[in-house]
Amino acid sequence: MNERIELLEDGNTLITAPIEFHYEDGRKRIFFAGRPDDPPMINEQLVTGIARAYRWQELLDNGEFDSPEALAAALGVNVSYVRRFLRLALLAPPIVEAIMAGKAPRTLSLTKLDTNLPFSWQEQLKLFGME
Amino acid sequence: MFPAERNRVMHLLLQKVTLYEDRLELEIRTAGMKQLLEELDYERKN
Repeated sequence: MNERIELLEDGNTLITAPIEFHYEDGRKRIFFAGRPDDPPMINEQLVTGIARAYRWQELLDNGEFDSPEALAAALGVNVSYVRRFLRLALLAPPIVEAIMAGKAPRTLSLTKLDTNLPFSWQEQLKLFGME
Repeated sequence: MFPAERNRVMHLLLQKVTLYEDRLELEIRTAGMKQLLEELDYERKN
């Protein structure tokens, strides 16, 4: 079955497209059938996380706050929460670019990024199969 | 667009979404589209 576009009598448009269900990360998801190149999918959670990381790192670097503890106190959040996001500022540039472009592996999540993220950019790339 | 705004536009545009096991049907509210665009164009010009 192919994609089909029809104009209905009431002036609305009906688009029919073949789909397939696949399991990904333990969740059933819908994919358009016969399209190996999925359109880029931007993970808003990751993008926001990285933006926050860079902003917070900037506040520490320019001396507005002397420590993650001081920043956490000013924001009224737990220091481990701040540190967790700050780690995202240490991501290898190709990973950040891929996330921004929505080309990162779909299975990449905030939780996966902040648990045991290696410091070395080479190792990070290896870990996410992006070498 | 912000996600909430995108969500709102999608809701306004979509009349009905039907999901079958093998296909997806999207009914899009295109009926008033031509008129809407003409009205917007008219407002822009005046």
